[in-house]
Amino acid sequence: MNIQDWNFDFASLPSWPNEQDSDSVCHELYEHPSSDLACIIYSIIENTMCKHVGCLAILQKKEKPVLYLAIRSFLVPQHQISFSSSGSQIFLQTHIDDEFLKTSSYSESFRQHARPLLVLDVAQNRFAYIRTHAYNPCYSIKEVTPHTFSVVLNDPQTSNQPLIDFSKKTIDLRTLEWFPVEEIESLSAKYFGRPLDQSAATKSKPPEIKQELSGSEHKRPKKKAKVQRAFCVSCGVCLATCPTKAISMFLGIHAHIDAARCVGCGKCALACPASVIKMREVAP
Amino acid sequence: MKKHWYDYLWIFSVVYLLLGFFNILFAWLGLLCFLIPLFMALFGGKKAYCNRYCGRGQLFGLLGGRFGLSSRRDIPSFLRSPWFRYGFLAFFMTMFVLMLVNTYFVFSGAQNLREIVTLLWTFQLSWHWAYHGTAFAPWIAQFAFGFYSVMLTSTVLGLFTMLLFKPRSWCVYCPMGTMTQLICRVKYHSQQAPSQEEDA
Repeated sequence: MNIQDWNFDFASLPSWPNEQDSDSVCHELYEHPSSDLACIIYSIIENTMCKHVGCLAILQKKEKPVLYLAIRSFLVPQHQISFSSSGSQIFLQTHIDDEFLKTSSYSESFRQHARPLLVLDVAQNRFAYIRTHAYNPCYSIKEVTPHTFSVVLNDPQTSNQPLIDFSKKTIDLRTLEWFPVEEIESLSAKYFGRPLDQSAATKSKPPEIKQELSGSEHKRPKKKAKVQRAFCVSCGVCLATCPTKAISMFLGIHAHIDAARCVGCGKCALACPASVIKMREVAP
Repeated sequence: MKKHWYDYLWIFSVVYLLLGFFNILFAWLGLLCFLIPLFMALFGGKKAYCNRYCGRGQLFGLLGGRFGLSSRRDIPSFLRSPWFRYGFLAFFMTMFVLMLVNTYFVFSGAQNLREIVTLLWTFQLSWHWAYHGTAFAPWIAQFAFGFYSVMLTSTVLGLFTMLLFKPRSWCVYCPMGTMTQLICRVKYHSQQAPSQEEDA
């Protein structure tokens, strides 16, 4: 699949990687076989802690594409995308290397959080997580009835382990706990439902999405990293941790954070050996 | 992210420390860790050495980060204050000069070669096993013993603060880091930094 097939200005996506950084990023498009939907994971970066952070975008309508949803800093250690056959649900699963789990000092938190199966219901503008407890959930999703999906394991090597915590290995969408889409962390509300082709897209924009967003846009305070320049030792540890490459070293004197590129993830603040990077709330 | 060749420079640091246990003359290689950052800072490379090529920093990052040996606490604020950093730099340079003076004494014959590695400027460890006699003059070995003491001491200090604080807390008070930052400050003192929305 080729992202060029979509008539879309990919560079306009938030945190779209620039050409110079192309050795450390990648972008992949997953296209729905029957409906006019696509899911892009892009800007996947491995930082010093070996985590991968990606940005997720959902596009609708190949000819006059609408950016339906753009999420920044989506944790995708390895990524596999499944689409439902109905076209209104997108299944997003993550896949983590076993070796990585063994060596990472963060393995506990990964066990708890890193392997959700994310279900996006683009028709109803909501999402759900399904927690899996296996190290390496490798499965495909197949629709059984309009609301029920079966989970098929793909990995024969680990099939003797209890891979997935679903009792019958089926997902009934009606029983899931759904959340409205704007609750997703780091959702870029600005891009939500935004038509790409400004002239044509007002018609294709789903009106209910706009309604839902208007009240929630200012709900969550945004955070940005700030450097206490006088105490910065310009060691450069933060440079490697930033998933969006927002940090540069100003003439070897102190770190400088490009506020426009900062997504407020806080990795630099955690890594800074001198603890001179603080996360500060900024006005939305 | 694609790994670059310079992401493996921590191996150089480990090998350097190990070689010092077998033949002290390898300590001379450590001059690279002194001269390269200095020349980089002086000739336009700014702090690229700290930011990218420092094998010791990578080693601490690896041990503290991936191997999880670091407790990841915040470093006490006095350790990052300019007083302490420049004070430690001055102290470090003083001890360095004393080491050079010792080397000169051996060179001039006023003092005999001492096969000793001084840890933390205090503890004198007999290091005779790494000295096998040499085709070189004794002062060359004396410098190697002195220089290896400096390198070993800073590694031990760095490991200590790595355990207590963030993995690369050595970088906060590393004399080379302070010195190269000072050079950059002086060199680019007229340049205006890009503004930050608000000063933190």
